[in-house]
This record gives sequence, structure tokens and C-alpha cells, in this order.
Amino acid sequence: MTIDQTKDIKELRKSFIQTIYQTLDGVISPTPYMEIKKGDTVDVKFLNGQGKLPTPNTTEVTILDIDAASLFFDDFHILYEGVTGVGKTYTSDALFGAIFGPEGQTTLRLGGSGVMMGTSALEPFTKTVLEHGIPKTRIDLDKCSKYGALFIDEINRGDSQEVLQVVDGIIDINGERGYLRLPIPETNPQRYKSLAIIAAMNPADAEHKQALELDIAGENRFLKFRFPNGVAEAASSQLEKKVVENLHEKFWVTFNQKTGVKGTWKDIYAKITDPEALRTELNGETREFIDVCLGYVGHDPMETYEHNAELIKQEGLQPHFSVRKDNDYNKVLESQHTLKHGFVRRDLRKISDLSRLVGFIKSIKEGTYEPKVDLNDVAVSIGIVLESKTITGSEYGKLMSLVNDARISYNEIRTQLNTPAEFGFRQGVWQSAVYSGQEKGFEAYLNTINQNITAINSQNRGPAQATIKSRLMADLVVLRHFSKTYESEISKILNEKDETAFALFTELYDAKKSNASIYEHRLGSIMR
Amino acid sequence: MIKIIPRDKIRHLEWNVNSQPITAPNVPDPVAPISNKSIVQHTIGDLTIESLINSGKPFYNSNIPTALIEAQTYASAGVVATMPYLIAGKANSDKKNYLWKDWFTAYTEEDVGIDIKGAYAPRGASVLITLHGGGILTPDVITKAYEDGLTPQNAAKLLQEDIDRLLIDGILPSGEKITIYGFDDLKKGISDPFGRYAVVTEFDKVKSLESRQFKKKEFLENPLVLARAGTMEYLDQYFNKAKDKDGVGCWHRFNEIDSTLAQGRLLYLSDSYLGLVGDGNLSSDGRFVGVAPEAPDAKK
Repeated sequence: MTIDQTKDIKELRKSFIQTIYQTLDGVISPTPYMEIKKGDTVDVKFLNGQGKLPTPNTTEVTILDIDAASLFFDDFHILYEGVTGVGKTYTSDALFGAIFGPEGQTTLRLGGSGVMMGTSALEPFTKTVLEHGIPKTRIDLDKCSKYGALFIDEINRGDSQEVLQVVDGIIDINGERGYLRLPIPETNPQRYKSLAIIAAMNPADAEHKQALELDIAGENRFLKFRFPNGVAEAASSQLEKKVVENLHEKFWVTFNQKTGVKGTWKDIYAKITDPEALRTELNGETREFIDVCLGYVGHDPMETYEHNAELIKQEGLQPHFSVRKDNDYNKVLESQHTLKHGFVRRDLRKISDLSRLVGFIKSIKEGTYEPKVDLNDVAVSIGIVLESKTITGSEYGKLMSLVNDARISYNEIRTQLNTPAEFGFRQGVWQSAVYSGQEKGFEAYLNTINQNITAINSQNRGPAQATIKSRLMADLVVLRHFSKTYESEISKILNEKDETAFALFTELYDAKKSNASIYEHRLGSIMR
Repeated sequence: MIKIIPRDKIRHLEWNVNSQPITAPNVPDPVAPISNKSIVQHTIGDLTIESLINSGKPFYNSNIPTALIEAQTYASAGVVATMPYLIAGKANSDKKNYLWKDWFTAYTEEDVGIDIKGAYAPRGASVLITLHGGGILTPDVITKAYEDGLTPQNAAKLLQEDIDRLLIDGILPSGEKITIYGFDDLKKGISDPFGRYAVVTEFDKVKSLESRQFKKKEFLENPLVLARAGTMEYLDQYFNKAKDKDGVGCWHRFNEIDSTLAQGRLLYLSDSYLGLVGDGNLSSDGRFVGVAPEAPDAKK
């Protein structure tokens, strides 16, 4: 049986992942990275290689879990930071070796002044040709689709510009362009699977003098994890673990026995790990949490509050809550001081992707292999992205505490406002206003928004709640402003008595959002 | 692609004709600005402001009733400092004094209940009772409130009948009769701001007040500040010493609570610019100041 005859990708995915764990069982000692506890609030602990006794509703995530799950996502790559000898390369080497074999993967090892393995980071994808007797470097299109995976070692030890091209999957040489990707079989229009990339680096500290802090452009392209040192914990259990030579063959023979699917890794891998087959959308609740959380965990809450309060005051309203400069606030600032730089646009994508990664890992552990992203997954992901942006050597876990604060506060607000599960509060207000307006006209529509602005305009507990409330209230105030500005158009829309009204409203929003950037920033996620 | 929420799931968010759309905050008349008259040094019995400054003794415990009992025991013939007394003490002491080194729990309650007879508000409306010198939230009542469970905003649930008796007859659960002042009485000035008395304000007039730091003019004109301070006499001096660039705070949770439920909490006085704190949890720590007339230091 070949892959195209097999209809159930989910079953293949399950067998593929099971084969990874089965094949690497004698090779890799599990390195615990974090523990996620499910519940009303998120509870994440970074384990630093030291596992805990399993408890109900708790998921332990190891480095192999992260590596294996990352193969299914093209949107981001993994970067491990850790001192020499903790095993940063070992797990990835074994995983890539098993799946892609020696010919299907390559390694770039950077040195202080350039690339050690070749003359250029692009060398694995180029060829030298003689033109009029002069050797010229040209892109080798065959090589561009030769590899399934790339390991970049010591990524912070040299000029990264060429490396970034490789990481982005698009290389340019002498006016030619090459795409580093594998065609996914049986897709129409043709889709491609990106190169799986895992990178590693030593921390930029006194012990690693040639290592530098990776620049922002570099870090933005990776999801950075501090590699845990599990050596002491695993101790002698690691002695028998070793990479065996026939790992690649063993992997695919096992997979064939499980599934009956035959072929080389190139025939099978890209199809099974096609990100389109694993696409998971964030729901309104999780999107709203991202919106409200970032202003608290990644920025000075006071500044976030004041910006939102300014918007609210522009509409003639007054927030009845504030961020107080008390000990809680000072603790937030203290935690944020470890941040090397704040959130950037790319981080939003990282949070979304990592949420899906975490959701996927959980589904693997639970045996469903169908990722479902919940609020805790998003909270975990925001925390991990934040921690990845800290200065080397800073205490790990403090920023996750901020995310926990935000998660708890958001949950309290949702409970207080009786917001339906999986939807955002702002979504609920807008849609209830439309329902109300369809029945009783524009006044009822506007009063519904006003009523909910009043409901949220109450005293707060702590800086997290004040910051989150300020965002929610400001967004509703923007909706109110938009609604008053386009009253005549909205009044007509409300005459539609079915769900068409929502679609027409979104069309109105799309048509008018360019009139003020604040409309797009604040209303875009409400009207999805 | 819009995800439509079934209407039944969000019907509760729809406009209810019985609820209020957004209106301007309902703020009571501002307090008249402080006059230039000379500062009056109030006393309480034999105790002066200097007694508090020089011989007040803090009693801290992570359990409020324990801290209060210890302070009451120490000050058996004296007083446990109320919010007006603490403010006056801070206004008249330098920043090296212990009063500026820490936060304190004031022996001042803020109780909310219904004015059933309409003595101080429209009949059946809620009122705020600022009870200086305690009387309802005794250590036993607070301990029982812990056992029975606090309100969602961490105040003690009180008996409406205790509120009724206080509003109608001015009598505390202990049987002691105290003076009840209306807000206008405070504006005119009272003779015993450090003593035991209650100030009753219509709840609707304080509910919408902002809870934040205020610049000086706003702070001095804030009616909740006056109810808590008992007198305007020391506020100007206190403000000047406590302020930071955003002024001094006056905090509450009136907009969150169910004012039809009789409830009470204690006030706190911050060490600095956070000022008058009325949104502290009754389940948190306590630090009362006991002032005893016989304290050795007081005799110096």
C-alpha cells in the first residue's frame, strides 16, 4: 500500500508518532522540560530536567515531545540554549537520523568568523559551475529539495545573515532564488513542506566567550527554549542509550509494519506532517485572551491602562478602576526587567503556533492525536514566548507567573460577566447587541453595548485585572464609537432578521476600517 | 468567517430596559475647599495627637481579630487609633516617625446596609456607614464572618438588624449609644473627630466615585475622603507629606458590591501615596495602633 491509497491521515500520524517514540526508546533518555496542569487556572512548571511524580490532569512535556511535534508545524523552528554537554544536539540528531537518514538531513555548525562545515551557510544548497572558465556558485535546485531537516549548531557564533535565509527557506544567490522545501505528494494545487529546523546555541556568558546574544532578527525566527540539564536526574539510566547505525531503517520498517505503507521518507514524511492537515483555529476566547494578556505581561501595565483609559475618555467616559503603583505593580515591572525586548508582530504568530504545538503534544499524550487549543494552551504559549525573550541568566518562571495572573484575572472577569465558553466577551457583547437591535432597533443595539461597558466598568483587584478590563472596555468603547458614526448603515443592517446581519455588519466594518486604524486594531478580532 | 453565538447563550448580555445605560458618574457635591483658619488640635479624652505620635504601639498579626484584640488589650484605658486619628498623627509627625514607616489598619469600619426607615436616605435605599472607633466589626464578629464565609469582595456579612438599630437609634450591638453624623455635619465640622461615632452617606452618592489617586484639589473635595478622615483639619498637611506625582489615593469597591446585602470591612491607611485604602480584604493582615494613656513613653 502506498501513501495515496491510505485515506486516514490521522491514523498515519498516530503511527508515525508512535514509531518515533518506539524507535528512540533505546536511544534517548527523556528530558523533562515542563509540566502543564489542567484546571480552571493554568499551572505550568519548568522542570529543568527533573521530572515529578505523575498526578491527575498533568502533562509532562519532554524535549523529544517538542522536537517530534515541531515536525508538524512549518511556521516556526526550535532553538535550544544551554551549556555544552547537556545534550542539546543528541535528541535532535537521533530524531532526524531516524526519520531522514544520513542523506536526508544536514548540519550547519557555525564558528567565530564564519561557517565551519562549508564556506557558507548556503553551501549545502549550492553547486559550483564553470562559466567561461570562471567558477561560479549557483543554486542547486535538486539540493534545495534534498533535505527534510537541518540542524544548526552554535547559531550565535557568527554572521547570521545567510543562516537567516536558510531559516526562512528562501535563498538568493547571484540573482537566482531557491526554495528549501519538499513537495507534498498528491496535493493540487501543489503544496510544500518546509525544512524542519532545530538550532542550538551556548548561552552568551563568561564561560562561552565566542557566543553572542542572538540578535532580535534571529530570535524572532525561532522559539527559544532553555535546554534543561537532566544529566543528574537521568544519571546511570543514560548509560545504555546510544544512537545505533540502523536507526533510519528501523524506523521505517517499524512504520511499515504498523501501517502497511511502503516507500522512502520522501514519499511519506511530507504527506503525514502536512501542516494543512493539522490546522487548528483559535476560538474567540483564546484570541481575546491574547489581546488582553499581552498588554499586561509584555508591557508596563500602567502604560497599557493609560492608553486604554485615554481612548475611553475620548468617548466621554471614565474608567472606575486603575492600576495602582503598589507592590503588585512593582513586582510586574521587576519581572519585566528581565525581558530583552518586548513583543513584536512575529510573536503573535509564535503564540498561535506554539498553542497548537502544545495542544498537539497534549493530544499525543492523551492518545487522541487531534489537537484542540484551549485557554491554558494559549497561556502556556504566551509564557514560553515571554521566557524565550529574557536576558541570558535571568531567573526562569517569573514571567510565567505574570501570565498566570492574567489567566486568573481573565477567568474571573469572564465568570463575572457570564461569558459563554469558547467565545470572547467582546464578541458576545457585539453579537448580543445585534440580536437586540434586530428585535428593537438601533437604540437597543447601542444600549446593549452601553450596558456592558457599564458592567465591566467596576473596581478591580490588582494590576492584571485593571489592565485586562481597560482593554476590554476600551474595545467596547471603540465599537460604540464606530456604531454611532455609522448609525444609519447599522440601522439598515439591523432590519435583516437572520444571521445575514452579522455578515453585513462585517462587510461594513471591512469597508470602513481604513477610516481609523483604531477600528482595525480593536474591532478586527471581535468580528471574526 | 464569523462564528455566530447562539442567542440563548448571550441573551443575558442584551439591553435590559430596567437597567441603566451609561450616565455621567453620580458624584455628590464637592466638599468646600479647606479654609485658612488655624489648625485645631483635637484630643480624645486625655490623649492628644502627640500621644499617638510618641507612644502609639503597633500590633501586627496575620489574623485581623488577633491583632485587634492585642491592640484593645494594650489600650484598655486608651484607644485603638481610628482613621481620623491616624491621619492627624501622620499630618503632625515627621517622616522618620513610625507612622510613616508602615501601613496600618484603622479602627474604622465601612459598613453598607439598607436604610429601612429612610433616616439618612430615601426609604429602602442603601447607605454607607463610616463607623469610627469600631462597634459592629468586633473580633468575634470578624471571626464568625470568616467561618460563615466572606462576601465575594471579601467583606464580612453583617446583620441588617444591627444596621437598623444603629441608623434608627444610634445604638451599637454592644448597647452603646453613639452619635450619628450626616455628611453635612462633617462639612460644618464636628468636635470629636477622633472619637467613636458614625457618618452616614447615601450609598448612591459614593458608589460612582473614582477609586484611584487624586491631585490635591480633587482629594480635598472628595466626600469619601472627608467621611473617612472625619475632619478637614489635617488633610492638607497629610496630603503634602503623603503624595507622589499622582497625588494620594482613596480606594473603594463600592461599584462591585451588592449594596442590598449588609456588609462591612475595615479601612487601612497606607504608608505613603496610596493613602486611604477601603478596598482591602477582611481576610488579610492587620496592624492596629494602640494608644494607652498610661504608656511609659507618654509620660515623658
